[in-house]
Amino acid sequence: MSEAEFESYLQLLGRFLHLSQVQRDAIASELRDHMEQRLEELLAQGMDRRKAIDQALEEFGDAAALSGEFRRIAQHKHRRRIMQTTFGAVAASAAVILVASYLLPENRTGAPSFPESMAQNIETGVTAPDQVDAATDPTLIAQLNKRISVNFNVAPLETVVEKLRQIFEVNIQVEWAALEQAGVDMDHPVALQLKEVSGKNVLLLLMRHLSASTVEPLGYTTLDNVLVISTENALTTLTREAQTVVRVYDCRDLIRWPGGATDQVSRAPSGAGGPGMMEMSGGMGSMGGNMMMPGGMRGGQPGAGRPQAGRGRIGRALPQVTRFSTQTGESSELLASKLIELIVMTNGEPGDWALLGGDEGSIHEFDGMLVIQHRQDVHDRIVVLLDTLRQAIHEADKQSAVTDSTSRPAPLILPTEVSGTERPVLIIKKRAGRSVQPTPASPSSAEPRDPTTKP
Amino acid sequence: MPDQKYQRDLLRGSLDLLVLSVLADEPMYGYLIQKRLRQVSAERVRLAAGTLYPLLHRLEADGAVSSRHEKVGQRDRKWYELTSAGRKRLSRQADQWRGYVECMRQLLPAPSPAL
Repeated sequence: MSEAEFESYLQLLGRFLHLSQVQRDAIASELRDHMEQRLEELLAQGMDRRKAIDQALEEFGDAAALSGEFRRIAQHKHRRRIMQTTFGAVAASAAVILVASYLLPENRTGAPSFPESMAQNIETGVTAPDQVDAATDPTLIAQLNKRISVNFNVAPLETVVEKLRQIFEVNIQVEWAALEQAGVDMDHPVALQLKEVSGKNVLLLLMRHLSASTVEPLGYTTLDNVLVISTENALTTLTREAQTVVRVYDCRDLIRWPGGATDQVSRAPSGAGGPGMMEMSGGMGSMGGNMMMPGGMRGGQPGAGRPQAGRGRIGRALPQVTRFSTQTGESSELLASKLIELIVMTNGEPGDWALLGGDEGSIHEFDGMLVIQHRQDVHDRIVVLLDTLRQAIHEADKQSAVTDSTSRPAPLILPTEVSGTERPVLIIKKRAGRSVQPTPASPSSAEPRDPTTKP
Repeated sequence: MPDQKYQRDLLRGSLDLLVLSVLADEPMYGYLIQKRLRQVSAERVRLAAGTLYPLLHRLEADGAVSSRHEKVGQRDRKWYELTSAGRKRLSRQADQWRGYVECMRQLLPAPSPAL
């Protein structure tokens, strides 16, 4: 049997399963075996080849749900969060749709189930028009805190949703396709009787009630002034899309350690420096080397785990430039690693950083700038951290300049509110379904340097 | 969807039990399991691959079934069989189900002649 058609489908399926290569291969070969047998059976019945492919694919079911299921099971099994690439998954499913429509005959009338549900999911990603952060509308919050009474006695879910719309007076978006995939449809009977319970808790209890009948848990989330009801899986995608923002922080001053001639640049042949030192050849090196930082981090030794390979091959062609801190003698690369480690360790849970196996935030250094993608609340904390760090360094410098005593400055305690004057250089607004557009930050920043606007 | 297929509600709670039962007699691979269910139920139980494989993987993760691979020409076939834990689970769930069926049988009105 020719591999080509199924091969493409299975390749794409495998790609957005997001499991280890071994797991992916195991599942893929199982699915392939199944598909091929089914195809053979249909062909043996005398069915036309194209029709047989149609049918086999259709019988297979929703590719997205399938991959979602496998992903969930793998999460359980290995007890670690697997990174979900939202755009990647959407792009991959779009590719599946394209491939499927290419492979399937033109006069195919009944479209397979997955393209529709995929298209719907792309659209239901709410696009808050000009908002950087899709924080919840305060009126929605207020409504959900209101106490309400409900009396549903075997009412169909659709009716329940309608009633809640009236009670809360808010937009409620139900992702029916996702719900149906999980096992609950519009007619699903709901029995819920509650008196004077906060709206939030009514919703919570409703979700639990429904989840008892589904293959995966349901939930809701608030997005601006919309209440979205869907499967937990689909919701994580949605909230991440709406709520992470990419920001660029100028940390060159922190990485070069002020207090002396900061920009000391020495041209030295390779071989200088202790275990933590890495030599970078020109600008190219700082890009290549620093992007490796996340890898180095995992070993727990900043900078130690990074490959030395670049030094030999590329370094010879370009002048060797190393920046040293005048105070501690540490290279800026090492300091950048340390700074990243500091930020990651003091902000959020390990699950909040892709670096530590989470599936949310990313942080990379590029030429002294830290490029961080994360939720607004994490950014706020980072701003405070960097600000306070700068203050502490400043204080320390002042002290060491004035006195020679060994008196230590009082430790600066991080304020709990965001009052930092730190302003990111560049804010990239990420909106669901659209390409990323960079906008320069407002010029009223406290940054001593000229803000560099990156294209 | 033809209306002779059993309603989703009926099936949902018993999918695990169906698959475990099929595996009670002999080890099978996914495609065979799907086929067996269709045959035994006279086409009324049709488990989509999209439902079946995650279910099998879940049962394996739970320890109710174990798997092994077989090379068939160029293909790789995965066979599933019940573990002792799986057998216990099957037996327990089957008892529950029989009890449930008996209870229903007592409660339900007598079948109407049209059916």
